[in-house]
Amino acid sequence: MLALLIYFVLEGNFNNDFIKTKVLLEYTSNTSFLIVGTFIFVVILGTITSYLSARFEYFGDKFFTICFILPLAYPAYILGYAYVGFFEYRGILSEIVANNSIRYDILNVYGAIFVFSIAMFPYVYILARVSFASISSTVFELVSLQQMNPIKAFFKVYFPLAYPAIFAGSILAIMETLSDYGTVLYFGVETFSFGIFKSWFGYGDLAGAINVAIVLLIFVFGILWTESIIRKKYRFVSSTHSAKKVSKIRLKGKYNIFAFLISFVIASISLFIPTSVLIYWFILDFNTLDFTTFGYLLNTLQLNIISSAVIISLSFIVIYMLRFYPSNIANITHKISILGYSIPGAVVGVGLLIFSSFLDKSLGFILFSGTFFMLIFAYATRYFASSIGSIENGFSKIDSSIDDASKIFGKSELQNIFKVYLPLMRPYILSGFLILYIDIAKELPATLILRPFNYDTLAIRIYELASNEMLYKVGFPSLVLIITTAIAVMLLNSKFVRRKI
Amino acid sequence: MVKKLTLSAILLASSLFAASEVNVYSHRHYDSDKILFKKFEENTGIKVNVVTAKAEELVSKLAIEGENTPADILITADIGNLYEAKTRNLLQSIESKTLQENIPSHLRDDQNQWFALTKRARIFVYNPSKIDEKNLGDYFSITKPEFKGKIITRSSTNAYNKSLLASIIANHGEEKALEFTKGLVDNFAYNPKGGDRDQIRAVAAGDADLAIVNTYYLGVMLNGKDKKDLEIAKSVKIFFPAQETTGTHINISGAGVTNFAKNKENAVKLIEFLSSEEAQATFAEGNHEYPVNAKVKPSSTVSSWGTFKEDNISLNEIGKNTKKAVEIATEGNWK
Repeated sequence: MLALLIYFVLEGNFNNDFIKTKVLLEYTSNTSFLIVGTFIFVVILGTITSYLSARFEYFGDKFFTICFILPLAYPAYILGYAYVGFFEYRGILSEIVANNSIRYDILNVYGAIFVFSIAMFPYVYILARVSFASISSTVFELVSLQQMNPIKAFFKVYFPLAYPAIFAGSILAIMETLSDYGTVLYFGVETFSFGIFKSWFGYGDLAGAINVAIVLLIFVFGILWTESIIRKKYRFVSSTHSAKKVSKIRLKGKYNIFAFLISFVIASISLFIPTSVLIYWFILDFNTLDFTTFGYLLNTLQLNIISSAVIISLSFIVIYMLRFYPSNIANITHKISILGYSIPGAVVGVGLLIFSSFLDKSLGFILFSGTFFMLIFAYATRYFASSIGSIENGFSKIDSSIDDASKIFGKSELQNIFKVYLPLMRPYILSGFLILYIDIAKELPATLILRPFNYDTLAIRIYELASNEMLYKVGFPSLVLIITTAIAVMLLNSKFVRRKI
Repeated sequence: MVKKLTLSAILLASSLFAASEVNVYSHRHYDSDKILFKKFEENTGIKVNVVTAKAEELVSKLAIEGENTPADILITADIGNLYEAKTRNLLQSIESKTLQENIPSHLRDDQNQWFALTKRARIFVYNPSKIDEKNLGDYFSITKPEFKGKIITRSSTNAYNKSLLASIIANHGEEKALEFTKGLVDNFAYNPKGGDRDQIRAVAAGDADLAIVNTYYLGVMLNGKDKKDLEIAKSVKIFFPAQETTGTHINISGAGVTNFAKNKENAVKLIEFLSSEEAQATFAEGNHEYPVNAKVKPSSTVSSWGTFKEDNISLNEIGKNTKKAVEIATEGNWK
């Protein structure tokens, strides 16, 4: 990001009025509308699903636990394509009901909000589920003593307790929406990110792009600032080491049916329908399936696992330092590192290209350019926020009395980390790892620019096929991508279940 | 015998020593290209290494890397970005008799810095029950008031639209180009969205009566596995604009050898191969693009559209006007 800034200042020409105020206003209003809409739906969907899955047992709950994470495996633009394929003229829906006049035009800002909401609500779900599940029994005793009705109890007690996690998740969703380019271009919604691309790559107007990028950053600062104010109001520590976790409530009768129906509807919209579209395309393409897809899969797995592990370790170190050795520099570093998530991947990619090229030129030989190192660096820049959110959330659940206790026992710092903090943080680390894994599997723009020769991932394959506009060809690699994610989710889930968080 | 063995040993050693490879930055992400690279590897033993990305990004990448660039060849799917690379001194001139024979002169750079590999035409696709072909003519014909609310096309940021507008500037001047833009925007059924496939579908659905699209996408739809796509593509008609005047605007995919290519010889060999009859037939059949090599015929689908008069204006002229086209599109409010 620093490299980008320097590049901008050196190359940019600030005395221009090419990007007029009118255009900026338009970007601002479009972006605001898009993210407010997305925010509302992401919070609603994420809260309902995480609360249901963390607190209740009902028909199909274990199945839905996994379903609610999986939409995250789809790049938003694939969900967009799938829904366009479903709703368009002579689309799959009109085929099913055998009526050619049935169609819905979703290529507009409402359609984009819909797509981003179903693509991003799992961020809230993943983070908030851990929070809801770790509410201690004391809280429940309190609620029953007060004789609160369940709805009041939810809004007065449980929701505020899970609030930091819900907000952290929705911030991720918003940041990702802000950085998206493919979906908004396809849907014809002119956002900041759209503006940056239009100016820089479309118009070759770097100065204009900088102007838009600066406004975007101010926008993001505004969001983060609001978030920090709201979060201060809801500072709770509910310790994970409390004696008892409350067991889930077994729903019966109409409540059981109701919970099932809600889950089924959400899972249908966000997962079953788009997946069916992809399966339909997969069947259309069955005779000419391209099995090199598995080669792309191997590359994806390799890159993902290594990058996620590196980034999660870095986030742990940053938050650990903040907790035990707080300083302003650590604080600022932390806040700035989160910004990366809102910067379009292509901008991060080009920024790092400049950076690695500068390093190589200074060295006099090529060491960094076109290496995996730069690619992992790019992922760290982009996705630091998504792992730091869950680590931070985890640390916030560890009571400071544990810090004191571990000091009293006089163990070394490393021993404390491995014996005390890592085990306590395990569910949070795993959920962070999962989000990273999925994010990186989908990442496209930075991967496109920075990857070494002949190293294509599934996301790149999907992009290539989609930009040929042969949509049915997208089915197979997309399904492979989501199956890998599903396996990752189940692996992590089984650990959650086995060792009770 | 000994002589033969020594000779083959020397040959083997030299081929190993050469570490023969060629590094390609390509904006073309088609399976036809992958097949061709593989064929080239088999024919020559030269390994083809590829990174695909968007053309604008690849040009930026080349510029940033400077002489450290590992790339030997730049391939883009439009003339604008190739021209941009040329003006930023990222390409070099190469001498090749094969390329001069295989590629007509108006599809090559005057300094031999870039060479066209395939062509696509920017045409009208229309709903025959709504529009009478008699009312269509050149690109300006669809800016007439009678087409109000009936026209669609992709965003002006799309490379194909940029080049189309640049060709109008080159042929008719800036004033006429702005007039065209304003007239077009006035006649839009709605603001640009979706890809070319969506434009064709919208015309079939009756949301608009006419769309400006690329021949390649229609070819792909007509040959895909999706039967509904096929029916939709069949339900619309094609019109080649400007037959009485300048000819239909064509855009190219093309390649150039980078200024700091480390494997220049191999790079030239690969581009020569891509212009050969064998490779051109693969582009034509696999991807429904127009071949640039006159000895090769288009696919049967593309041939069925008939022959037409092409705009033979120098592509460098179009490249030169791309930036201006962007300004005019903005001024005319073409999103």
